[in-house]
Amino acid sequence: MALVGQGALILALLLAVWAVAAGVAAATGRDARLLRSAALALWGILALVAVAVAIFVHAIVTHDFSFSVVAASTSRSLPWGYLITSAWASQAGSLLLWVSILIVFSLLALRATRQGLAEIRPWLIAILGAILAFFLLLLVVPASPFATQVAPPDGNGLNPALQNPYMATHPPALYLGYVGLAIPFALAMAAMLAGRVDARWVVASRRWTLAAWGFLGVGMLLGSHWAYQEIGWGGFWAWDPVENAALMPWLVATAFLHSVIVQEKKGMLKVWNIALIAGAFALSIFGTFLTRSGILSSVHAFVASDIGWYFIVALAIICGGSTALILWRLPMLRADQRIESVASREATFLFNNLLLVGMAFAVLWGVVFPLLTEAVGSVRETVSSPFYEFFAIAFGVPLLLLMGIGPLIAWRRASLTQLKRSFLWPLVAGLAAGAGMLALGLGSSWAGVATGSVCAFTAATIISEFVRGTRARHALGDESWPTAFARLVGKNRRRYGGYVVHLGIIVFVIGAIGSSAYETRAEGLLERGQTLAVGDATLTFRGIAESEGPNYTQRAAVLDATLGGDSIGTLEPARRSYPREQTTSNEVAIHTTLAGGDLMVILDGIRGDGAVQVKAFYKPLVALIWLSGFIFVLGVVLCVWPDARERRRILRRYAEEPLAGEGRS
Amino acid sequence: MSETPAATPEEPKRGFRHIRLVVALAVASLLGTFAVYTAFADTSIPVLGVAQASTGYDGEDIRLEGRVTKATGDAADPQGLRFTVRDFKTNETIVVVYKGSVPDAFRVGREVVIDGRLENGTLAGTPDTLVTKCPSKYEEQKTSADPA
Amino acid sequence: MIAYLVLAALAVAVVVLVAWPLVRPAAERDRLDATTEDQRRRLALREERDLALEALKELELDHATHHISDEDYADLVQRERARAAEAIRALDEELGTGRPGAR
Repeated sequence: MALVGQGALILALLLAVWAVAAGVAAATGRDARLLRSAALALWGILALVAVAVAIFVHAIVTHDFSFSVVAASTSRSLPWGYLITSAWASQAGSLLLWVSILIVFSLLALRATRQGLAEIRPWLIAILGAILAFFLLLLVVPASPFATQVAPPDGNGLNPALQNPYMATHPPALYLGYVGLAIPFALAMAAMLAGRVDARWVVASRRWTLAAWGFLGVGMLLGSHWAYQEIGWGGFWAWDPVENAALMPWLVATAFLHSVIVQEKKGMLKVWNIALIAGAFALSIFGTFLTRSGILSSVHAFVASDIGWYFIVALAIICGGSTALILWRLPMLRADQRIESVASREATFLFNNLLLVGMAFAVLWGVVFPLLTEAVGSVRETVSSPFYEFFAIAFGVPLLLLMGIGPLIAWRRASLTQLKRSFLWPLVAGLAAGAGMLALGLGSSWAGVATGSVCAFTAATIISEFVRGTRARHALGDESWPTAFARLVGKNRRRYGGYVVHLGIIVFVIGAIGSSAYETRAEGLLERGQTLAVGDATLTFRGIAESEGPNYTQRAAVLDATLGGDSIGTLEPARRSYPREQTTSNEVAIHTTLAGGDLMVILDGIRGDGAVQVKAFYKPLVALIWLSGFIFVLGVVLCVWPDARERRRILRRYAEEPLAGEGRS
Repeated sequence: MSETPAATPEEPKRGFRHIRLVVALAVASLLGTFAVYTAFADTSIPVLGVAQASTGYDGEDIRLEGRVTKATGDAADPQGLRFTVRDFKTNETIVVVYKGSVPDAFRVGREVVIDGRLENGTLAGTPDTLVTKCPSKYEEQKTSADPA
Repeated sequence: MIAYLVLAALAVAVVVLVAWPLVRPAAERDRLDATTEDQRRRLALREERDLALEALKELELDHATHHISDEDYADLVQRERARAAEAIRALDEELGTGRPGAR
């Protein structure tokens, strides 16, 4: 069976190469038969990948340990849910997931070109085929899911740290994001190759980019929550290379999402947009490279292998190819209009882009710093959290400010008198928030006060936008307030969905700043009856409780907790021992208050005589971080929600006269 | 910033030159912030193997990589955890004294990374910076790092 | 053994799949056209026209929500209308006179 799986992947690889060749030949030779053949090749890849996936999953669920990958990452006692998620726990399995998502997306993307873009199809298939070929090559040579061995009686089991529900959501969400970015990239490159520099490709790629960006954001948030609740080292983001690997493409994709609006409405920033989407996709591949090559010391990294070299070559081709393409088409990519005023929405979008790309660059610098220092011959050096946090504040706070200013400014140019009116209340809100924070004694962190004030300013702006828009509709006469609001949002989904996303970001920032800048912590060795105080809370050690689970034994420290003088029950941080996997795990105890703060206790160690070493944190407002995820998703869904009327309106112009390839299947 | 409205639909050239200047200034200030910060803020530490660390980094903050060969104590002990790391290639060792969260995967034979300051050949580990790698193909375990 | 047979069958199937469209010789209807220079120019004009018309709608919204003053609104509306008109005129010229406002 493994042989059939491996063979299927090899055939798929050959088909992918054929798709590239036939696509290019169809484009240059103008032959629709080759185009059809190339498209059929993609369907063939889908079928073959399905076969490979079926064989692989079958091996997992039937505990076929003659498959090396199955033996390395599963065992007979693994609960069936984790058996399924183990499919992507391994290097090879996760690459198989990549390819599966990519081929499905590729076929869907092809459908997106039916109206007004048919002529880019041969190039689109060629590019998607090339990306598919790359990942299939990885699956065939360095990371095969179908390597075989003499079957041991039982497998190694899945790392207990991965045996939790997040394994079912965090990696798939991230992959949907990473792979999703390939589609706008392919559309952009194909449009350039075909000479279609008009905005049609931008319109086609819009929802893809949004969805991929949304998944990437949710994936990062899920990973953060996992780290916070389950791994329990006390935080939710450590600026680890693999975490940054997802952040960098996300930041650049954020820039892209904004600047394509400028291109769609004003015909500007054409070259910038192509460079951005190529950058986002390149960073996505770079991120995958970082995670898998083991080149950087990271808590996530898979074992080092020569898979890194494949990625380096792929990155060189992506960067070199897109640069060459841009330079070739530069004469055609002239802007239709120009930015007239610094105080215009176009300008704020441009500055937003500069800040986002700047932040992505700073993160990239931090990530590759060890490689750079080593390459110049001296000792390898690394940066840690303070470096990243500086830029997060230095570039992030101005970004938040722009988030508030942007909506107040009209396209093309802002009216000074109107600006003064629009700015007034948000400015008051910001200053009041700042003053309030200082009055509450929160001045210990100037970054906290600055960020909090800006958040208040921007939140006030966004709310005022909703109010003004609803008021304007209501003033037209025949709609009630709720109807006016609903219609306003319904008819301007992208704008108001975007505002909802911005609100989500603000909620996130408030939670992040609250829980880090204003965190209190304490640690100590407690004997029975002794108390540890952290912030307004106290923890009194009562004793050790022992218990057993399905595959572990547990020792928990029972602590009576009070907050602000009132009892809030017991917190029982624990240490678990897994005999089969020969590991231990730390179970953190968290109590979430109504105000959204967390009291978190970690059991660091148990002394021979029963005394316990504990570490406790009080993190104000941390729950807002998780809440922001829901607001974020709501906003993205609003933006992505198909709008048939808008679509017809935009696509009408491409239907006014039949373009190349239209009217054919 | 309202420009005098033009009578004909021509783009005012003055505004456009303006924007170029502002964008250039913005890019310059971003790069400037970056350059100044990386030049003057002491944010990086050397990442050293045991053999490298033994050659004159006394008194400095470093990040040490090595393999654990011996370990006594526990986070709950007054002196914390005391363990020896050996270089991946040579036989040189350094003793590490560490108080803080100990990762679940930590044990003799595993690869570790720890931040700290070398004092007379012993590394005083910075709390909560001990990271252990799992010696197998699946993901390593994350337990402690700088609490964000 | 059976695995090889299955693989051989798969291989044959995919070859047939991608070779099928190439079996018959190239006919006239198989020619893939690219958009011509003229078509691209007209497409650009249509984009310009539509962008101006959409900008007018957005200006109305911005004006109703007090983002632009009355004078700026009047000026910008005049500009966008002129831009739309120019694009429509150029488009008509391209398509040959006699066809009122290509819709």
